[in-house]
Amino acid sequence: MSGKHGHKPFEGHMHDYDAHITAVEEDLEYYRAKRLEPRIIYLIRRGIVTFYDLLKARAALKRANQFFETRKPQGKNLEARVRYLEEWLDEYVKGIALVSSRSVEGMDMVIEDNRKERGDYDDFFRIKKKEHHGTLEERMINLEQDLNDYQELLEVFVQALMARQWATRQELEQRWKQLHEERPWAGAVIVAKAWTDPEFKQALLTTGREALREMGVHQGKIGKLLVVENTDTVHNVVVCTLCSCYPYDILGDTPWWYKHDIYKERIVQTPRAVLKEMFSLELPAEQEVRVWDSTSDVRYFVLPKRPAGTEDLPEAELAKLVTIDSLIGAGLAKEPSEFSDARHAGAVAEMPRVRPD
Amino acid sequence: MSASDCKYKIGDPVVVATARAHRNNPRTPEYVRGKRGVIGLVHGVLENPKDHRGLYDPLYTVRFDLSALSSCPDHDSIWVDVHEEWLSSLRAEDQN
Repeated sequence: MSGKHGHKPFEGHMHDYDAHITAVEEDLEYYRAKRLEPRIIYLIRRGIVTFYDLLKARAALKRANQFFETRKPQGKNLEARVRYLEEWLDEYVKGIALVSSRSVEGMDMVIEDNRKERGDYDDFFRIKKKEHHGTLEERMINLEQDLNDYQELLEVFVQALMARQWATRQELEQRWKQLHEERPWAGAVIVAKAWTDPEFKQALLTTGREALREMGVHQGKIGKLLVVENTDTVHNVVVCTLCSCYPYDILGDTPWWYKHDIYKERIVQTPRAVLKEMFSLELPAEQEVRVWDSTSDVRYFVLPKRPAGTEDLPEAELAKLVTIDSLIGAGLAKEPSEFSDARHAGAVAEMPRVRPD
Repeated sequence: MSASDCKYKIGDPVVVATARAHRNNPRTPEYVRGKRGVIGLVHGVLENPKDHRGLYDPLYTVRFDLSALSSCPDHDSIWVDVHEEWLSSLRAEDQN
């Protein structure tokens, strides 16, 4: 499958360090305030882990017993340092997945419990996210400090779970290994097939997951899948205004802006203006914008329009024109000329990561 | 449960409850509460064990004109997934 990739945060050269750092800042705060800390608080409320377990685990922690490896930067130039922060974030997110596994005894939470706990329905429960200021250099130093702090809480939490015998080290190590196995990214392959195979496209639009199952695409169990097609008269956009529901098992990691409050609030009020201002996407007046708010058990993705002048391209080449933004409706599939220009300039498309369920 | 067990069908005009219903599903965003829309899709009762325990009421995608939700003049639409317990039917003469 041409969409196959590892967990490397990106390939090729970075051109906009600021954008990369902003994405790490946003993602890091999201995963801390929306995933890890609400979960710890939920378990503290129920006495499964206590503050005192965490204190004791911290006091007993020795370097030799650490569960997570200490990370070190691989190089001193700016690009290597940004990469280091991105890779660390990736490990932090996997660490949260490790302690969120339902197979860990005594921690039988479903996603719905998390949503309540993290304040998706009630502002009262929300954990405040940090704001980021300063020069790029200052922000990078702050990020490293934050990652260090947040990673320490994660480490202590894992230690407390082992001390309370909610999980054995062996079980956690096995799960940790599974979390690092490569997972294919299927979004672009699915779209290219739908562009070239009318029968598959029909099945995809009407049966969703069934069509993908026949195609052999890895899928988690995340509700009904609905694929919405862009046409000359309709342009579809996806959002989840309540939390950040997203078919990550198929599309890979959620882009940071999809989880951002500004996108979530404004896309359902002035969709055309948001597409223009945030994504430089201007749509003709005759095209109706349809915003799909995935507030419950249905997950959506957009089947973008096949760009003009691609009649002769084979499926594998077509897949390269499909961007993450185009699958959410925040962009269009690339024209072949844009793609070759970008390649000529030495840029390689960033492959999305598929993070664990 | 099939679509035939659902109270509404595609094209039915509906209005969303203003306050949280007494039942179990909190997942209706504030900005559509009390608003009028039309049933766009009927999903029925969906199992989603990783997400929630047990079953919720039948699920619909309700189509709202953007102009019914915001002061934006564009002729666009917002499609929101809403469970049956949040919806009431709107008689034809109540529309506009």
